[in-house]
Amino acid sequence: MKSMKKDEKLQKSFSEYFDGVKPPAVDTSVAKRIISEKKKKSRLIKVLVSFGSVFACLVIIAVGIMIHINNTKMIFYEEGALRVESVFYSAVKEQCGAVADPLENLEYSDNAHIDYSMYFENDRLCYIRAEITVLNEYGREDVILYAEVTDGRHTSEKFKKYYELESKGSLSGTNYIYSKEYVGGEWVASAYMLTDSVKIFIDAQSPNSKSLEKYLYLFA
Amino acid sequence: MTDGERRQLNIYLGAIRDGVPEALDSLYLLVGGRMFALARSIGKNISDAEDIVQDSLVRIALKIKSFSKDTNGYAWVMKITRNVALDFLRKKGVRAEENIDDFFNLACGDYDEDKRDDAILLEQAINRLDSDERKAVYYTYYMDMTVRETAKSMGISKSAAARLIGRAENRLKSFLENGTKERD
Repeated sequence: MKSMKKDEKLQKSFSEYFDGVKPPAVDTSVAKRIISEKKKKSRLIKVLVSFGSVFACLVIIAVGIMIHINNTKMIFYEEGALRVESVFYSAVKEQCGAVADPLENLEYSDNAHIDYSMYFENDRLCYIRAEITVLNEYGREDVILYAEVTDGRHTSEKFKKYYELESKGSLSGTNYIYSKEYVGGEWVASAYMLTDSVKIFIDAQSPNSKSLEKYLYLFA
Repeated sequence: MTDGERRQLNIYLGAIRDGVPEALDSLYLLVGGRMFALARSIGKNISDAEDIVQDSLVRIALKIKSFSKDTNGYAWVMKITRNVALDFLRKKGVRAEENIDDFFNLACGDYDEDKRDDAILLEQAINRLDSDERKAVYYTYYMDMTVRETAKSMGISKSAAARLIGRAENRLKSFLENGTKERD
């Protein structure tokens, strides 16, 4: 896409004007690490594809382990002991790519806005909260998504209600439990899904009946 | 930004997309000052502006796959910087807005001494424009938008935007010529 043909004299004057501002010294190491990791990631994907059958076997074994954890008695930790920090997407990306990567397209979408918080016990990350607002052809979607990264049996008391959800579903071979009802002109849904690396808890309100599945699918 | 600089910037963006981290330093050398000027005009203080610029570079690295080689790389970078700046303010709980009237105030502080006199003259000329003319100049010459994009940003028709830009350019050239004559 070409920009508008501007007056040449003015363009030169403005170029000189804007270029007079001296950029500050900034730390580019995080950005450069992301660039390097993206390159490594694309190479890694090619290796994984070539070992496709082995990978599929590993996934099957991992799912078996996850189902076992799901059926194991949970140990709840208290919310009061946690420290919360509001953060940017870049911090989520640094701490937990398994949460940041599925949200990347939404993060950079023009019709979506996400606020992130991270919850720590001492210096250990327990879970990430993403408050997502999306405006689309259906109207407005409001989603609260929690991604808990503690080991399988330890979970916040805040998430108790999700383990008691009764309806069952499956996306791309990943099982989840959920509830969904139509209230006041929109769908109100909740779900819990256990993935390879994180426990996902979602509350979604939307005019779209498939909104819940759309966000679960990002992590499935 | 000259056509040559735009082409160079697109080359750097292409290299970043190909996974060359050093290209980010080259990109920053080329447009870092402009990113900082935009961050400063929205962020209101130097410290926030520096954080915004740093976060913008991270976002460029993260979003590079969405950049298409045939598009205007400079406009793409500036749009990212603007969005990061507005998000930064929202997260601080501060009203997030782009105050274009305050933007053309760059020739202060740590500004290039050799360019300061001409910069002040240009700012005096810009200050004589009305608010809509200043916005048209901002979108066209700073954000490097097309007439259509400028029209959309200002909420006016494409023909109205083209007329506004033309009028602003004529007035600026007139002020600058008279100002140069008076100075000389």
